[in-house]
Amino acid sequence: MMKKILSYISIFLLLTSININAKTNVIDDNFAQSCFSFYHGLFHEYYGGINLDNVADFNYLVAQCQAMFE
Amino acid sequence: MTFSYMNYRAIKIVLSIFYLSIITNLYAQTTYKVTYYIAEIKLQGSIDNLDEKGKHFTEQVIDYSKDVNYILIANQDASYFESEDILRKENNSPLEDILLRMAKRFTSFNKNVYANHKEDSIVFVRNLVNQDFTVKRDYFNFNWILKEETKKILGFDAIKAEGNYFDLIINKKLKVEAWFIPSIPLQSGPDVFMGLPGLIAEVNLNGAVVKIKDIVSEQGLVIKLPNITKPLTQKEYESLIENLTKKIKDYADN
Repeated sequence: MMKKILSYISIFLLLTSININAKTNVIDDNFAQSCFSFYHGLFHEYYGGINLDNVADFNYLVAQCQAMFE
Repeated sequence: MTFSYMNYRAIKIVLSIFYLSIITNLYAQTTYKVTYYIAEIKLQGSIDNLDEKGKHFTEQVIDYSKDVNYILIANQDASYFESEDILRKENNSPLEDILLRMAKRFTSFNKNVYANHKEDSIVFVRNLVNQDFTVKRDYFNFNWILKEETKKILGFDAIKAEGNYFDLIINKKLKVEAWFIPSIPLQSGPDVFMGLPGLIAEVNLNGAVVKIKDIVSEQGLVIKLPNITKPLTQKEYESLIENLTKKIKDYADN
């Protein structure tokens, strides 16, 4: 069961291309990078960093922010 | 024939006692609905480290935190705790939903918690990486220490208690301060915080202060039984968190 859950999570992370990864993927895009930096800083001040509880919110906010510049 | 008649009488007496005990129990069992709210959110860093945009965003999150209520339905045998569904406007926009979610993150509460006080066990649902996980385990041990400090909460005398627990998500031992009301004989409280000789009316957590807003006893209150299909054990849950945390670190490093 644990393997199944971990597989699911792996697929989720890949499909949503977790935005921690976006740090390298969109390095040339200043706006997108500022989206990442902004929310990264915010989550650090709020919750002490990105963790399993808040990573989905972080991804969503960064994606929304980046979409505004596309 | 005599034997059957005796049996019939015995069964009748047993059933009468059983029926009476159920009726008595129904009336003796008072079920309460307790509403909690977020009285204060506590940033792990400082708002001074944020730029104007960040400060404005934070003001919005704080504003939304004022709308967050949690409901506890509890009696002496069991309790059920969850966040109250709120609609700020007719239809929350996705951004409004996320502001609410971010406000709730400060409490770090589970999605819902069912406690069986007869078995000292709890079942909670935790949302991790956008996926709900159900876990069944024994009560948390907070090592509560009762203090001499008292104060009035909603007109009731409340006593201070201090405890600690290990937060698996942030991998840290955390302190918790609680205020409980001995005159309300419930060992429940918000989220997994319970086990004191009276209802917990206030908890001072790492990320927020949660206080009681209202308590009522109503007829017809039902304590929801969670839908438990193959819950994770505590050991499996710990292993899951360890593996997921490692995966996130690996993604960050690559």
